[in-house]
Amino acid sequence: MENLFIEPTEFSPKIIFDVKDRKFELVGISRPEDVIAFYESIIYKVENYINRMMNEHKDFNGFKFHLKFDLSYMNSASSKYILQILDHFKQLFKNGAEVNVDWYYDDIDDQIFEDGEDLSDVIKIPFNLVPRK
Amino acid sequence: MSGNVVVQYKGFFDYSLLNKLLMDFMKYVEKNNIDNYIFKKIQIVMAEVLENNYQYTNLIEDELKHENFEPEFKILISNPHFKVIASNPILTNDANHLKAYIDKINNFSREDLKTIYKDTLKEGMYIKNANSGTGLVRIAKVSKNKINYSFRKINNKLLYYTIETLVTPK
Repeated sequence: MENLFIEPTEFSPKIIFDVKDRKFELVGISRPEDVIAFYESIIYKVENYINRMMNEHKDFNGFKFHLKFDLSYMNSASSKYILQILDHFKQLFKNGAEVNVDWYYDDIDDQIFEDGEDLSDVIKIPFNLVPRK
Repeated sequence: MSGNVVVQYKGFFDYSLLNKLLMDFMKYVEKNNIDNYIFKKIQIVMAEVLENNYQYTNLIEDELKHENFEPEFKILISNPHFKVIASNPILTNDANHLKAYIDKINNFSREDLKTIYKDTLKEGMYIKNANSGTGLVRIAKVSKNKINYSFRKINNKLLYYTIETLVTPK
């Protein structure tokens, strides 16, 4: 399975999905013009990866996956698709894998901080809320 | 609240125009040393309001062909507060539902808003459309103020809907 890399634009985030190193990163601003088209291929790739891992692994003990969300802005439509991505990774988490989610924010009053708390509550995966340096 | 106009546009919106208005506002913020905290709040309210505005008017495009009522958007400042105002035509049939929904949002406590926001996100996660359905709740949640609205009759089928949100500093 190949890695996925999407260059950022002014209004869409950089995506790194490194299957070998088991990491997924979403960095920048998420307000793409066609939010469905932007996230569809990413979700498809994540879903395939998760299905493959579920078939290949009977035991997820020692299996680690790292997700990094470093967003300065996301619109509410993006949050829906970010949740779908997280929902796929949740399968690994539910099966005993160590899924680390780092969610970056600038300021505790920042909406992004609250977005991290909200998405973590909705998806029921703990996030590490990390202050941006 | 009256105040000075910071950003204003009259006409139909689209994605690139929203970007342009955001850039115009960003320039104003930089020039006037506006606090980043309030800038980020306005950015969210502005984007949610305008996305709602153009997505809805696209849906009812056929109904608007012979009408002169164009959408309008403006940001006013009356130091240190900002007011985000957006108007667009809506179908009369959609008004009661919208009014009831905004009234419901306006009666929620901060904790209720957080709960309803998360519930809506959860319910809408796999619904096949671009929206999360959380736009208005997010506006109320971020601004921490009530959403004011009004409807003015255009004809039997259409109303001119205006939404006003006050964004206040810390």
